[in-house]
This record gives sequence, C-alpha cells and structure tokens, in this order.
Amino acid sequence: MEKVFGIPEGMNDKKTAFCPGCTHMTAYRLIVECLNELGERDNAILCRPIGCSLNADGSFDIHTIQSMHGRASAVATGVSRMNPTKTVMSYQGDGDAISIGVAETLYAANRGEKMTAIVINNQIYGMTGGQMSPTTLIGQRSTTGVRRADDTGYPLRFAEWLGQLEAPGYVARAALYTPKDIMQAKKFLLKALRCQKELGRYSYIEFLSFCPTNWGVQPKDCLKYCQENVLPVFPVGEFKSCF
Amino acid sequence: MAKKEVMQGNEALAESALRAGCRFFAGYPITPQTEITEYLAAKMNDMPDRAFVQGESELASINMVYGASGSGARAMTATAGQGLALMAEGMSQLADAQVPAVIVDVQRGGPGNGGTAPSQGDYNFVTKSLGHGGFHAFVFGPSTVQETADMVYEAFDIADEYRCVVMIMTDGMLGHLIESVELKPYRDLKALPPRPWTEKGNPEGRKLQICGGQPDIELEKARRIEKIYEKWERELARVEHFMTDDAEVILAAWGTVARTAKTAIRKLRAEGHKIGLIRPITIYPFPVAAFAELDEKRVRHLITMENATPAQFHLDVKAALGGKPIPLSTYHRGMGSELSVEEIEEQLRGLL
Ligand SMILES: Cc1ncc(C[n+]2csc(CCOP(=O)(O)OP(=O)(O)O)c2C)c(N)n1
Ligand code: SF4
Ligand SMILES: [Mg+2]
Repeated sequence: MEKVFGIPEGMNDKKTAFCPGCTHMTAYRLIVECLNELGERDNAILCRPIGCSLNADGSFDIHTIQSMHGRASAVATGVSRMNPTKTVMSYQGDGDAISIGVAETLYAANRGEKMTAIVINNQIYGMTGGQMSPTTLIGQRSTTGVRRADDTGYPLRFAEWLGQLEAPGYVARAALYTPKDIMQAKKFLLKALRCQKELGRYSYIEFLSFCPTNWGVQPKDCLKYCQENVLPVFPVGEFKSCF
Repeated sequence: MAKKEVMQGNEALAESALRAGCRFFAGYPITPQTEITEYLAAKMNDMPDRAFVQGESELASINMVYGASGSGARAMTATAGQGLALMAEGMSQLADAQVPAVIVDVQRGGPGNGGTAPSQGDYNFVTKSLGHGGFHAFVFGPSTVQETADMVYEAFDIADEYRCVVMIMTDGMLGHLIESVELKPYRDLKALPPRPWTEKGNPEGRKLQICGGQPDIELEKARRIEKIYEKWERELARVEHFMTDDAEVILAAWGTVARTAKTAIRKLRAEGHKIGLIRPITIYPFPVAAFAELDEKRVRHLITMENATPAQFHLDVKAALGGKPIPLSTYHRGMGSELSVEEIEEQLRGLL
C-alpha cells in the first residue's frame, strides 16, 4: 500500500517537550518538508530563538545557530552576508520577533536581507508561562494582566506593517489550525523560501499558532477560539509577493 | 621591510584587521570609535567575500558578528562605553557558544553617558567578565599605534585558536593619535586556519549546532574553558619591564597612561633616579609574576596610575603583589581628564 503520511526525512519520532495541542511542531514540520522539496535542507541554516521553539530540540536535522532572545534576525543577517548561497532562516516567537527583538526584525526586513523570518504568533509568551506579548488580544488574559487598549495598547499587526516596506520580497500570514490552513501555510512558506533563494530577497512569514496551555483553552476548543477571536484581528493572506 | 605609513590609531586598527582576514564587520557609530566603522564602511563592501553592515544598534551588531563568525567568517565589531554595555549579552552568548570574535573598546568616560574623553574606566568590566554568567575574554591593552595594529592582527588567530572573544582596549587618545606604523601583509582568505566546527569547513559533514545551554555538557564545558584560562595565565600573559632592572621606585600603568609615564620616567632617569615602569600588555591574563617576583629588598615603593576613578587596575596590582611588604599607593583620575606628563613626574618625584 502506498504510504501517504509519515515522518519526513530530516525529522524523527523522538518525543518533544511541547504541550498537547501545541502547533509549534507543525511549523517545524512544514520547514523540513519545504526544505526537502526545494532540495535545500543540507544547505540551510536556521537561527533559533529563545522561546517554546526550543522544545523541538533534537527532533529535526537542520544546521542551527542558537540566538539570544530577540536577536535571531540579527544573527541571520551575519550568517546570510557570509553565506549568500545558503537558505538562511530565523525562527522566532511573537515576543522574540515583535517585542524584545522588534528592531532587529524590522531592520533585517528593511535592509532586505537575503533570509526568511518565520514568526510563530501565539499571542502569548509561551515559554515563560503566559505573560502578555505584543500580539495578545484586547480582553485576553495573561499572567501580567488583561490587555486593555488604554494602558497596554493594541496587538501589533507586524506582517501588515512589513508588507508596506520597499525591500521585502514576500510577506504573509498563515494559520496552523485546520488541515486546509496548514496546506495554505505550506504553500506560503514555499513561496517565502523561493523568494529568498531564487530572487535573493527578504521574506517574512507569520504562523498563527495554538498555545492551549497559556490561553487556558482546551486543545479541542482552540480552533473555535481562534476563529472567533484571533482571525478577525490577524487575517491570513499575502501582504506582499514578488511572484 | 614593509613600508611605514603614518596613520591614526583607529584607522591603523581597522586596516590591520582587514589584513588579518576580517571578513565581516558590524558596528554602530559612537565617539571615539567611529573612525573604525567609517574606515571599514568605505572599504569592505568593495572587497570580495567581505561585508560591512551598519547595525541598527550595538545589540544588533554583536549578534550579526555572532552569526557571521558562527557560520565561518572572521568577524569583528568596535564600540565604546555604553555601546559595550549593550553588547554584554551578545558577548556572553559568544563565550557560551564558543564562537570567536574580535571586539574593540575605544574607551570613553563613564559611568552612564560619561564623556567622550579618553578613559580606562572599562577595566573591571572587560577583564573580570564581559557579560552575565562569568567568563573571560583575552584582553590586549596596547599603548602605541604600532602595537594596536599588531595586536588586532594577532587577535584573530588567538580568537580562532581558543574559540574565544579577544578584546583590544584602546581609548580616545590612542584611537586618535597619528603615528608611523608598519602594517603586516594581507592574508589570503582562502589560507586562513580551518574552523572545523563551523559548517563551512566541517570535514565530518556533521550538522552545525552552535548552541549552548545543554545542561549535561555545560559543566564539562565550563571546566574545559577554565583550564584554558589557567593556561593563558600560566603561559600567555605579557608585560613590558621598562628600566626596572635596578629600580627602587616602580610605577605600574597600562595603555596610554603607561605611554605618557615613559616620558616622565626617562626624564627622571636622566637625572640619575632609579625609577622604572611595569606595563601589562595583556590585561587579562594579568601578568601576576611581574609583581609577585619583585624584590622587596630593592623596591622601596610601587605606585599604580590609571585614568579611572574609582581605581580598578590598582586592585589587580595589589592582588598580584600578594601581601609582599612593598609600600603600594595609587594615583588616578580619569573622568574626562587624562593624567599629564607633568603631573605624573610630580607624583613620582614625591616618592624619590
Ligand atoms: C533578554 C531576555 N529577557 C527575557 C528572557 C526570558 N524569556 C524567554 S522566552 C520569553 C518569551 C517567549 O515568548 P515568545 O517569543 O512569544 O515565544 P513562545 O514561547 O511563545 O513561542 C522570555 C520573556 C530571555 N530569555 N532573555
Ligand atoms: S506553552 Fe504554549 S507554545 Fe509553549 S509548548 Fe506549550 S502550548 Fe506550545
Ligand atoms: Mg509567543
């Protein structure tokens, strides 16, 4: 019988430390699959952040450089400038890319570094246990308070923002929710990586991701929660495309 | 013999770094370092296989250096004062991941915004721990433009050999001083020593995994690195003894203060006074033996001088002396006004 689903080459079935229902690992899987399809996995370097993405330790086979919290886009800049023929990626959380590292993310985009920034937007600080992040929704609870526009401001729509810059070649947001969403996410990611590799331009892709643990939402209820609360604030789609 | 050129300290440093094989530089403007960044901005992007980036901050710059060096290239940044403070996190990560880098601190006043005048006030910060967690960089303290150029050239080799951060600590005076200098030749980028642990030259084809923070190997790694520091302290500390053979009064100073002091010492020697200078050339590893082995029957007084208040270098000299019964005192100022030849001379006369 033909095998239609399995572990892609470059990943293993090692148990990871992610919570049940977390979709970080879906993002890693898409990265590995896309790199495999482009024949780039051995030629890729991934700059990893500090955040829940560390829970994937040992489960994927890509060259990695561990970056400090928020600095992955700067690290990727150095890697990319010295290795222009590589596929260079940063993998960052919303806190990492849009709060503490917002300058590094923005400037890498504005310089048009030849890299792909992959940002996991779960509207929360996952790793440190549920504090408010730059994308936490109005009215959403966090361990550092409920977001209210009058004192903590609004969730930052970073993809929309980067989409207005001149230098980036591809800017998109996709969701890691339903199988259909995930297929779209993969399509977008392939474009992002090709934009970098084939056209030598900067790509930014934001993945909307579940964090059942820190949202206090059961994994089975996450989809409904996101359809009602997240997607109206963070619409999926392409904000800029060089294709 | 190579031709001598007349160059400013900052420019000689930048040019010498290029010759040593520096392929990547990222930096952010700050007085009195800016000429290094400007010099490299003008040259590097036109040179094959090299790149210059003006970072959006010192935070970004040090992390770009980390990425460039971690993936194969000799890399450098230069900063001063508060810029170095912003790089602390990144320097700590370089140490943890054992990624080499050359970092230049053209010291200016502090704390806080300080002033742009020369200072030696970053001494403790740089020699004791450049960031959180506890680690050392190999630290050079040049006192002439020639030494600055030679040290930065050598720094890249030391950084690669020990997979560490090598610091060059100059200051606004040395950075802006114009002197004649003989530069070493350009290195062939393709003939630089291999770095098997970066992906590019990895002979085993293993994946590049530059990280840190894996508990099972952290302690073992820390102990291994501690052994490297011990080796540096045993074998690599450098010091200049200037007219100390028969000296009864000895001045200890580093960097530009030592340079100024030499003029005062020559003058007093010409008058027949038995006076000399001990100048640490590496300030970490600190040349402990130079002080520990002083003959207390001959040396009547040891005085330290530095451009910093409170005194910092003084404490290392005191520790190196190890309780030896030689009277020790300090004369220091800094905070935007350097020690002059005249006042150094006056202070030394008071001890004769
Ligand atoms: C300089 C610094 N400050 C704070 C931290 C602590 N910290 C680690 S991860 C994190 C937040 C991670 O949130 P996010 O980037 O959204 O990633 P997630 O875990 O949600 O995927 C914080 C604040 C740190 N590692 N470094
Ligand atoms: S805390 Fe949230 S982001 Fe982190 S592993 Fe758990 S579900 Fe995923
Ligand atoms: Mg998050």
